[in-house]
Amino acid sequence: MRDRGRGRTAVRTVVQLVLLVSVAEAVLCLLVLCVTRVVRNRRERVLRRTAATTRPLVVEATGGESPSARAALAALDRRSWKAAEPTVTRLLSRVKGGSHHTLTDLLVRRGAVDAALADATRRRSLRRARAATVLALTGPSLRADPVRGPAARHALHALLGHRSATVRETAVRALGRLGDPVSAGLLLTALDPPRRVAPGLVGDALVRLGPAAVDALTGAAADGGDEQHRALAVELLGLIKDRRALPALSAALDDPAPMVRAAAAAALGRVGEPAAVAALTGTVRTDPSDRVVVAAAEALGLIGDENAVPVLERTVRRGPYRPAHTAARALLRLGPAGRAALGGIARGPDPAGAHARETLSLALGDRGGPDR
Amino acid sequence: MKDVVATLVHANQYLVIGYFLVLNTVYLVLLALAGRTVPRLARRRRLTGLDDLATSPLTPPVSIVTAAYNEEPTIVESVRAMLALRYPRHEIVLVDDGSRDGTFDRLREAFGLVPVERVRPQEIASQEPVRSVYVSTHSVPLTVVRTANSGKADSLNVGIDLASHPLVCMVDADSLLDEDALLTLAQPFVADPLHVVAAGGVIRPVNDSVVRHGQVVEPRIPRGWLPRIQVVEYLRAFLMGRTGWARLHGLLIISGAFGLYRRDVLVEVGGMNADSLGEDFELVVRLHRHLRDRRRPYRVEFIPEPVCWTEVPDSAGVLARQRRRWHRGLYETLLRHRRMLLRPRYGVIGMVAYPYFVLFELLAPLLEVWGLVTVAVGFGCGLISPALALLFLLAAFGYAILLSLLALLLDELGLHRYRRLGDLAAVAAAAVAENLGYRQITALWRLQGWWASLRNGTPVWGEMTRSGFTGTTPLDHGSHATVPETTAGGPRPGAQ
Repeated sequence: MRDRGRGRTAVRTVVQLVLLVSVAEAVLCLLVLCVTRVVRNRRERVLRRTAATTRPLVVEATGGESPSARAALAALDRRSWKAAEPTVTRLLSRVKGGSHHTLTDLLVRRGAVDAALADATRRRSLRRARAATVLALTGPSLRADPVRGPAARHALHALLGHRSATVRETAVRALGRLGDPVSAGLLLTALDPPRRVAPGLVGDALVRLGPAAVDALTGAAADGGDEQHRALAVELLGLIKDRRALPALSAALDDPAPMVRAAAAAALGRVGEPAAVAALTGTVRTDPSDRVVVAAAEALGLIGDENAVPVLERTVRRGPYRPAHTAARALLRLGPAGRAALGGIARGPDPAGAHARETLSLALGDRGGPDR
Repeated sequence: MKDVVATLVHANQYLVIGYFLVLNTVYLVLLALAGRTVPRLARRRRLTGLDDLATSPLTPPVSIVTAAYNEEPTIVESVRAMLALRYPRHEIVLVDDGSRDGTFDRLREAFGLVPVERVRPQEIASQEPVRSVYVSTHSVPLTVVRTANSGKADSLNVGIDLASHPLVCMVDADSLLDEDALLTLAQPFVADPLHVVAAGGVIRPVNDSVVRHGQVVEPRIPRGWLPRIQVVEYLRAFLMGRTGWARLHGLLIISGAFGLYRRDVLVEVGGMNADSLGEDFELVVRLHRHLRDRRRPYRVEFIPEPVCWTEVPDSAGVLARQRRRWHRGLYETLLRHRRMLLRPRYGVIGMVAYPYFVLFELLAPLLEVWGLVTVAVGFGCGLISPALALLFLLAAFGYAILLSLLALLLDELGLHRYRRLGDLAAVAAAAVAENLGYRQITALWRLQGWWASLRNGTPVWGEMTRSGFTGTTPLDHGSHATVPETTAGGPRPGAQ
């Protein structure tokens, strides 16, 4: 009995405590919610009002023909600039050429770029990441600045090894936009553990460097560590479409990893080099991986050389689904000879006939007819 | 006899209170984890480089797969909104699951659909054959597939099979996605293409929000109390629950309304289970099981920011059917994969997430109803002090309201989607109202769903009527999406 009584008291105490804490915290929560929302609404209202007056100035300045608009923006007070800045940064990521120079120059005059260069060495990761973002936005124009350009590159190189993934990612993006060829090799090292950056981001930055990255990428394609790195290097060479990469791409067709061979085939298709048709035809005929055969068939379609018709026709007739499907689409791109081949296959038995008919119906824009 | 009853009642008190404390402690842990993630993501929002992702040739292309049944009022607008999503390369594969209204006719008029022959890869089996396939003559990447009615899961399997791209995004036909939702959800796949196999985003009720051209331009809290309370539920479930579980690498569910998957992995596991009522939950559990059985490194991610807006039921009848179906689906999935429970080879999934779902999702309505029953019995026998019972009730309500308000605070600090102070007040009021009958009745409905499964009864989805997303005006009160009815293996019954 005494135990039950003690137990009941303990339960009551716990329950009372929970109730008290819950009510107190709920009240606090409501207070914080209200205050936060009221303050935020007020701030947004002020910003919206101010932005309504500054936005026309920004648009006018971006047009490049209004020195007075540029001067007015450079002279804005702090509050008005805070309202205008989001419009400026939004436009910076979307404009090119003279408009980009104008907006970058504006940020330089406002001290934003120098502040970013200083912030790139601060302790807090968020500040460094924001700094890298400013350098990314201004990069295409900053590259021509004899002082700030090299300073930005130097700062961003240092950020590639930062412990924060966000900082590294923004640094990679910024280096891509800065477009300095010196960064190509370092960007490739950002793929390596332990402080690696997403391959897609590194790849995008390297594509932005364009032909300046070809030497580093051909080296990576040949002996770039694991197969994912080699495949990425090969893919990027295809996107850059520099003919200097052709020997490396052709060599990659013999890589032991199917992922790399497929990327090489796709890259050769993008480059569109007719001299690659023989190698690609051989790949379609003999590669054991369906994935590679699909990439090679697609590449033959992109190159558009009629010499590929026989091997593609054979693949449609005998291949498993994906190679046959892709080969049929590729035949459509090979002119009259390709279409004639498809027509012949279409009259034959399924599944090859079905692939051919599907491809031809897409091309002809088949209209009408009842549901089947 | 009275002693026995007294002992049972007292023992039950400790059981209920203990369960309550453990459950809410788990919620607090999830909230703490989410509390670190959501504000951090919000601070880094402008640093994510979505503009670069939107134009990069390396961003993987996506096939948006959706199944539609009797969606005539909204289907064209929904498809237009999906086509307008900011993404470098994506296609829409829409499966018309035997609609009996003008769904297909509307699509044909709007997009100039023409029939084409299409060879299926047959990489994922489906119950019903494809009747016809159409493509658009308006230079938009839209494929419409017509099948006999076979249910959402089976239709999605047809769509996945016909998808051309390496990533598949499954979206409900009546859902609206934020413009950058697909880009944001694709980020984990760009960051780690070899290991990330699935990612989910947040679902929010769209009832009474301002929708323009398929975009939610001003989120609003619904006017009705039922959908309003569901706003609270969804905030807790997504912002708190799923964010927290994802941090623990124990995410067991991605909503069927909005999830992104690697197509090759979907093919490996055989696509959706057409016999399951909780097909989205079952798919993710099966993914975990498949990959862990093969000891392959993988990740399932949850991003709290990309939002999918969907209509939620605003009548008790439709809500009841939904909750019965969900709980039935939960039970059947947990039963089907029960060998994962407390098995170390399944890591956090088997040792933490799975037991949580059994104890605190599956059994929760049983404990709630059991608690109410024993309180009533205790009162009747004079064994329970009314003061203590009331105290406990208030504490339980207080704790539950606090958790809801914390989830709301998390949303406000991190994402602040609801701008009006009045909307915040409405959600706070709904957090209180939820405990005054709503939780209790939904517990009963969930038990009914469970009981129906135990009796092996026929699952019924039910039908909701839809009036469409109108210009700049809020959605009509009381309108809902049409949901396909299905009976296992049989023809569809008439509309309810």
